[in-house]
This record gives sequence, C-alpha cells and structure tokens, in this order.
Amino acid sequence: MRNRASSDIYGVIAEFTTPEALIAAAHRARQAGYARMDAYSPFPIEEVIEEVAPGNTGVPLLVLIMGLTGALTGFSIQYFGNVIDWPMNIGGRPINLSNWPAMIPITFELGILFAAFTAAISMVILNGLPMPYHPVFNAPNFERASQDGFFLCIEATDPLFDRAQTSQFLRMLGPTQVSEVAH
Amino acid sequence: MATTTFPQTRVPQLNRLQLIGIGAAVLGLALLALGFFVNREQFAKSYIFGFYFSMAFPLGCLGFLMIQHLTGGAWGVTTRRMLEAGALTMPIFFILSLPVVFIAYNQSIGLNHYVYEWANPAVVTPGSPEFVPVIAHKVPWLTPAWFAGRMLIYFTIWSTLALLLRMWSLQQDRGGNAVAAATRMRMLSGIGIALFVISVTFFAFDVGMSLDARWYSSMYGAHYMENTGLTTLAFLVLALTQVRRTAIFEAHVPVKPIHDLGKLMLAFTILWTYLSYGQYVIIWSADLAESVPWYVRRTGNGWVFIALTLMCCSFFAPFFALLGRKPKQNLSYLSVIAVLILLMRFIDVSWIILPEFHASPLEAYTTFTNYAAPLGLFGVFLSLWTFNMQRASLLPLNDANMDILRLHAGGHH
Repeated sequence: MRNRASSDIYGVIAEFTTPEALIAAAHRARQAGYARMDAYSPFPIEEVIEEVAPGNTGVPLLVLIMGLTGALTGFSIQYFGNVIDWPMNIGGRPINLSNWPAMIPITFELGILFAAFTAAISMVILNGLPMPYHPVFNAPNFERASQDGFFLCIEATDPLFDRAQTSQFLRMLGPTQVSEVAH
Repeated sequence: MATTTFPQTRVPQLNRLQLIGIGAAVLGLALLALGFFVNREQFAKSYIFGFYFSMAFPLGCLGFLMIQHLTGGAWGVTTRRMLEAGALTMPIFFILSLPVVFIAYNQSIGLNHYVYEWANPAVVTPGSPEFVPVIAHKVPWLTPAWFAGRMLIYFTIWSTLALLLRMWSLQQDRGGNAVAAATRMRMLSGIGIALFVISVTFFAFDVGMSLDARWYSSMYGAHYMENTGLTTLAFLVLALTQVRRTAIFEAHVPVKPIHDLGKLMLAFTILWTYLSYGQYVIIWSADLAESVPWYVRRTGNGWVFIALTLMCCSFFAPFFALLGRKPKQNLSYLSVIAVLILLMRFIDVSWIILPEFHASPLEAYTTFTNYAAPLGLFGVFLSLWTFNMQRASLLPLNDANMDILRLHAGGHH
C-alpha cells in the first residue's frame, strides 16, 4: 500500500552506466509490476521503450487517419476541379476518372503532408509539450542523461510505489546510485 | 574443415528444403526439356522469362550481402549466411545463362524465328525488306557476340564478389583477424555495390528490355534491381522461419532483426510502387508514339487485369498489412506476407516479360513452360542455397556486428 509520504516526492530514480543494464532493469521493473515509470538515455533504445511504455501512443492511428484524409482531399480537389467544375482538355487527356494517373502525385503529396504534420504536432501535444518544468531534472547527476548516463525513474503515482521498498528494489538492479526525486 | 571453430550445422528443416529444391529442379527442368521438344520457340521464350525471374534470387542476395557489410545492423548479421549462400550460386547461374546466349544466337538451337529481334541480321542490314532503322541504330551495343561478352563480364563480376565475400567471412569464422576481414569485406562491398548497380541495370536492359528493342526506359534497370531486393527479402523471411528454432538462432537472435526485415519489406513495397508508377506516369503523360506501345501491349487483351492485380496485391495489400509496428515483429505473420510478395513477384515479372510473347494473359498463363522454367531454375537455386547453408555456421559469430544482436537480446534474458 502507498504510504502518505509517497506523494511528497516525484519518484525514485536509478542511474546505470550501460544501455544493457538499463534494458535489464526496465525489464525487471515491469516484471515486478511497476507501470508508471520512465527511462532517460542519451539515445533511443527500442527495448527500453517496449518495457516502460508497452502500449500504443495513439500517434500511429492519428497519422493513418490523417494520411488517408489528406490523400482523399488531394484526389477530391483535383477531381472536382478538373473533371466536374472546370473540365479542360489538356493535351487530349481524358476528362474523367480514367485520368487518375495524373492525379496521383498531388494525392500522394497531400497524404504525406497531412500525415507528417499530424505526426509532428500530435507527438508534441501527446508528450505534454511545451513543459517548462519537469521534476526529473531535480535528480542528482541527471545532466548525464544526455551524455553517458542511463536512468530509470519509477514515479510516485504508480499503485505499487512505496518510498522505501521501491528504492530498495532499484538498488537490487545494480545501479551506480539511487535517489529520490523532489517535486 | 578441421580448423573450423564453429561446427557446420545440420538442420533438419534445411535437409527437407534441399529435397524440395531438388524435386522442384528435377520436375521443372524435365517439363522444360519436354517443352523443348514440343515447341522450341515457346521453350526459348519461357526460358528467358524463367531465367529473368529466378536471377532475382542470387542477385538480390549479392546486393543485400554488400549492403549489410556497408551498413551493419542486426538484420545484416542475422541474414548474412543466407545472403552468402544465395550469392554463391552465381557461377551455376552463369551456366544457366548460356541458353539465353544461344537463344540470342538463334541458329544454334534451331529456331526459325528470332526471339531477340535485334539479333536478326535482316532487321539491322540497310536495304533489306525487314530493315528497322531504330534497331539498326542500336547495333553497336545489341549484337549476339557483344551480348555474350557482356554476360561473361556480368557473371565474372558477380561471382568474384560472391566468392571473395564468402571466403573472407569463413576466415572470420576460423578465428582469423576478424576486424581485418570485416574491413576487407566492407571495402570490397563499397566498390562492389557500384559495380553491382551498373551491371544489374545493363543486365536488365539486355535480357529483359531488349526483347522490344524499339522501346527504352531509364527506369527499367532500377525496377529490376528493386524486384531482386523485394524477392530476396521475402525469401529471407521464409528462410528465417526454417532456421528460427535452431539452437544457435534461439541463443543469439532477438526479435529486432525480424522487425527490421518487416520494415525493409514495407520500404521495398513502397519503392516498387514508386518505380512502377513513376515509369508509367511519365510515359502516359508524354503520350509519345515510340514509348506507349510497350504499355499498350500490357493493357490490351486482358493484360490490364494483371496490372490491376499488381496494384491491389503488390502495393495496397502488403502496404497496409505491413504498416503496423507489432505485426512486423511476428515472423509467422511476416511469412504470410512474404508468400504474397513472392507470388506477386512472379506476376510482376511475367507482366513485364510475357506480353512480348503472348497476346493475352490467358494464353500466357496456360502455357506450361511458363511455369516449368521459373520452377526449375528456382529449384536449382534452392537446392544450391541449402547446400551452401549447411557448409558454414548459421551465424558469423566472430563478427563484431554480433554485439548488436547481443545488445538487443539483453533485455530478454
């Protein structure tokens, strides 16, 4: 059970020196039942992402829907413009649906445009950015996360979180240090 | 070999595959031989089709072998032995290219019709009633002797690259200087990949595009190269299903390289669509008398349904099937897509080649030699591939790239 003091801190963080150690630690933490945790490393490590955020982020589905919307928009504006509203004979090419090969480049471009904008914007929004303050920067030595340090932080909002036991658990995973992160 | 550090691997699945390969080769080549006596001209046409189709396997293996030496990566070190085994069939495929040279020379196999129109002296001799100026213009390049010479050059390049890369890779296995061998292989691959792109482009021009010597497309070679890549990726996925459960793969290979192969299949599917559509839309938009007949033959008499099938099953189906992230990590799911891709490679190459010989798809797809030739030549490839696979360790364990696999395997222990 969560003790009262847990909410006084953001979480506990462990520092590792190698990506392998971080992968193994994240794996152990997940096996132990922790769900609300995050990893910080100088470069993306696919296996760690699988461990700390196994679910879908929602970005792929948004990108697919918006990509298809963009492609449909691209095709429609050409079809309604060139075939229905303002049919024009261009070099003898057909003025109906059989003119589709000429419409593919714009269809493709708008599909990519919508998908790429959706991917970038939804990534920023779903990440909660812009975020001027984040407690994890209170962790000692945390600047190494963008150089050569590999961090695993178990957050206090996790149902299994217990200030003493979680720190003890992280210490068993072979980190260089474990510390509490203030809000 | 007595000095080998790693035991050569006996894998029951590979033995079974070898039997299937030998069976396919015997059946296909026997039917092809029957076709030779039934209808010699049809034999020649089917042989060109079958050869062009099945060359995608050794060529794609050689191409990816050099690419993975240059890029590294988990997928590269996992598939390296499969790629080596495939590329190593090149000298045998040189022998299998000789019938194509004989077909170009025509008289030697007793045809009374030139399959390659440019090989007909009457077509390229000014003043003759059959004279075609646009083909005569290409004579310095398109002559049977220079055609044969180029085949020799292509296969010499490819065989040399394949043999050297295999030799150095096995030296690594035997515990030689692994870093020096890796550097040598990377240097050779850098030069090799440039030679590869040029030689495969001209190979495609010679064997495939010159069937209609009045037509040309600068995209043709790129399209064929992309076809070899897609064919090989599908083959690698299917080969992986056979060796996945071996002890050495269980111990060293995480899910990462499988995911990589899935991503590569998606990328190559998109690239195929880009090249096929790009070539089409440029010719379609220009609407020039010298370039459209090639497409008119490929849309008339029902061939358009084959084109539409390719659009649906070679782009839309694999594209949407491979979009998701999780499915790409599932080998049995990928192998279903790989079967579809391989089937579509057969349909695509037949749509590229066979309309030159058959007025309608009904005629093309009911001619038994059009199946016998690809089946027989692929059977030869498969039996040689399994033979080569069983003559070395399934993974290049001394290579530094194995560390990438170990890193990704880390979280799963």
